[in-house]
Amino acid sequence: MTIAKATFWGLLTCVSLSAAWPALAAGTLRFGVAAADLGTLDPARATSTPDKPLTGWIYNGLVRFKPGSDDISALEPDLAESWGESEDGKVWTFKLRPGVKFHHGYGELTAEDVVFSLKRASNPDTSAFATDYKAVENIEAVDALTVRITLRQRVPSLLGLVSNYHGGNIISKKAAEEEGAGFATKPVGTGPFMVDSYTSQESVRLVRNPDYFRGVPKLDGIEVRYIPSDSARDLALRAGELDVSYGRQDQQWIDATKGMSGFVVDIMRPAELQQFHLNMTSAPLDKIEVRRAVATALNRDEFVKFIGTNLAQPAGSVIPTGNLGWDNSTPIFGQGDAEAAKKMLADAGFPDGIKLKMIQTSLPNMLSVAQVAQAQLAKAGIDLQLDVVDHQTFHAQIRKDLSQVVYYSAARFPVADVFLSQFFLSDSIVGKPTAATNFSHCDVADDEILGARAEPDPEKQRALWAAAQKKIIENVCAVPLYEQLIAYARRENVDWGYDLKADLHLGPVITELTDLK
Amino acid sequence: MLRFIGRRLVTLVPTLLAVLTLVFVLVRVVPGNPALILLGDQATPEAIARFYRETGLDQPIWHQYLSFLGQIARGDLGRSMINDRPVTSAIAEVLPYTLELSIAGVVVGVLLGVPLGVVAARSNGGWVDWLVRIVTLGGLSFPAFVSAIMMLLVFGLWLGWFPIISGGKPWSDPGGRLMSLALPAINLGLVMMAYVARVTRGGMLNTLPSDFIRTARAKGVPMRRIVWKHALRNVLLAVVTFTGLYFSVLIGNSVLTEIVFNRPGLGKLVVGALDRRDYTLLQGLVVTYAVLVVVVNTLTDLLYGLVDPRVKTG
Repeated sequence: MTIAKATFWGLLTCVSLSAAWPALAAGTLRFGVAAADLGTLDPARATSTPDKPLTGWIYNGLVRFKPGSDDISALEPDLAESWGESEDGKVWTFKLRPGVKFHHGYGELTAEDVVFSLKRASNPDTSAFATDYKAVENIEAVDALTVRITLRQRVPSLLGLVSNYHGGNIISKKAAEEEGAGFATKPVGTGPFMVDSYTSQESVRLVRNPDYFRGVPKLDGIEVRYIPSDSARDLALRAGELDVSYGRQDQQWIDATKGMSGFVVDIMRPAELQQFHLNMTSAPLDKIEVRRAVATALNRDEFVKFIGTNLAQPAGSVIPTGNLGWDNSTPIFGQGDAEAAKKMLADAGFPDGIKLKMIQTSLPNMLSVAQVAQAQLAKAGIDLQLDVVDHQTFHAQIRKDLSQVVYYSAARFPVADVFLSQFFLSDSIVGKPTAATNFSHCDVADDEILGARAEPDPEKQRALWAAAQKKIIENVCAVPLYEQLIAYARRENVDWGYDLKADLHLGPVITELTDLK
Repeated sequence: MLRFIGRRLVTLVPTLLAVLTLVFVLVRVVPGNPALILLGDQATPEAIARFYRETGLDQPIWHQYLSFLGQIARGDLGRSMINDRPVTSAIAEVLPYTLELSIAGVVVGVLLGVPLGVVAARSNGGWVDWLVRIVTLGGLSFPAFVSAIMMLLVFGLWLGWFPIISGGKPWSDPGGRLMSLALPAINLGLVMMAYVARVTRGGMLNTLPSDFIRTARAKGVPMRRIVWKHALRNVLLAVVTFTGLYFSVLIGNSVLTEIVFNRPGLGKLVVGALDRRDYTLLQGLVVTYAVLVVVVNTLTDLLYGLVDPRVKTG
């Protein structure tokens, strides 16, 4: 080959590459995740913050939360076209949308897939969310496009259990049986995007589902990059190597990112309620006067100021704001009145103050909150002794009832029953065989929580939930500090296609309408 | 030669056994367990008990230990406790990235370190010597994650010469792969460069006053030839020893570089496995590290023979 010829071909290659590349890249959204690697894409197993958003792009439920919303009273049809319930609320029948296709040629969705998915979600061997489905007696396929769910007793939100969240996500029976454990990285759903490839510690590539029943997605695909270093993720966003990135969850980062032209910060719900659970069986916290003193010494306003007003919102009750049944009519403590707290302690027989042991995770955001609390309590003569351990050790030890005060940050399925049952029902006390996350040994509101669960009348149900919250607050089982929102950064040209206010998947849902402009 | 390698492999057994036992005990002494990670923070005690049964974690500890050793003896590293993938394939997937980064780091360290050391020794006490000493001190005292972020900022963001997100380029795109390897390799190699420069400088200062150097000079051999051929050859033995030792350290040190530059690798796998208490994966990784260290040491020993014919391996 002559030099002239070589140059010609070389130039031609360059030109064609440069012409082809932008067209290809323009339609792929690059999404930066704060984790070293993917955990799982199996919707019944995905419990971690970095894994959850992806399930929202791959799967559908029978019903769905409106994109950008976490309003459980406004669920809309997804894979089910219509549904109905029996008079006692125990039998639910869903009519499926016909002609919905699974990814990668796995055929059309039938009632069998729905039965398989929901049974899998209720089985503790295959699902992290099995307890949510305890009340389900039977799930059956009436015909190819009809599913019937029979309950042992009425539940507060059956629709929530079959929504596009956690166990409600519908998967392909055939694919799940073929793949077994491999389904975690080769998932098959019906959503707008399907997984093309996964590279360990690096990326998940998704391509658009051309058969998506709501229409062909505008994006060609999504490239999820795993970048655990906050600084590296920020740099990649600024250098134009990412379109969307999980933010550093602090005010300083938000202010800095907002100040850069071409970038937008999205602040979204669900708000995780940050709460101190006080062990009511462990002296001196067994005295209600002492618990009241602790709650009075803590200063809720200061926490909001410390975290920053963009990311923190005031708490209103012992369950997260916006939950169905949330009630803020009972005043919560947290006035930050050290003198009053001191007097309460003296009256309770502790004029010299008290010492409290607290096992605390070393996660920086949570540790700094615990340190602020430590300083506030010290003013009232309460010595909060932090035993700082790594996050997994923390989770293990607080479940062994080793911490007098447990700082827990949580958002749950937005129906009061879930949060109340897991944190304040006596069955859930840590150490019991039925334990969940009741660290305070709270047992004052069992009647109200269980009563509300079975109550058919929504008004009465709400009243019972409100009564439960009142009792828990008055007995100071827990002290709510503040609620923490979630921050993402995106390039200005990313158009979600809806108004992003919230998403239960803890990250923005990417729909068929999402676009790069 | 074969006998030498065979002997090496035999000595590997007790070392490996000790390391394996240590790891087996350590990962189980640390509180926390994989069940909570896999099942989520809403897991019930029943579900956790079932997980223990399935993974054999409910068995007596000696039973777990023996079956673990039996598995290793059969060359089976087991399956990850978290995602059920075979440990061997998880490691094999990222091992090339770690090896490529470590080797590139060593190359950077030696190629920069040796000349710096030689130049410094020649100007012993002069301003070049001081400059080299300051540079190497900087290389030693800068934490890897700080230098990494600074490099990304300057060469990635401001100058735009290198990509911020490394990795993800196959070798079928050698240009892209090398570009994404460059900054991490330099970052990893800087510390090594500093050490190598110091080792070389020290060795040269010891060698230059030797009789044979004086003889060579008396015979009229040009200084440049004396330094780079005769003196350096004598120093190289120390450099090779150091490089061999440090190579193992480098494989372990690469984790910070891997995290900041977002490269796949063994280090990141270790951190993830520790984080999730993935006992089987962690054990498999330790076996891999132990084997790597032995392999590197053996190679170093073999290299001695090449660098200095007076050293015989047999």
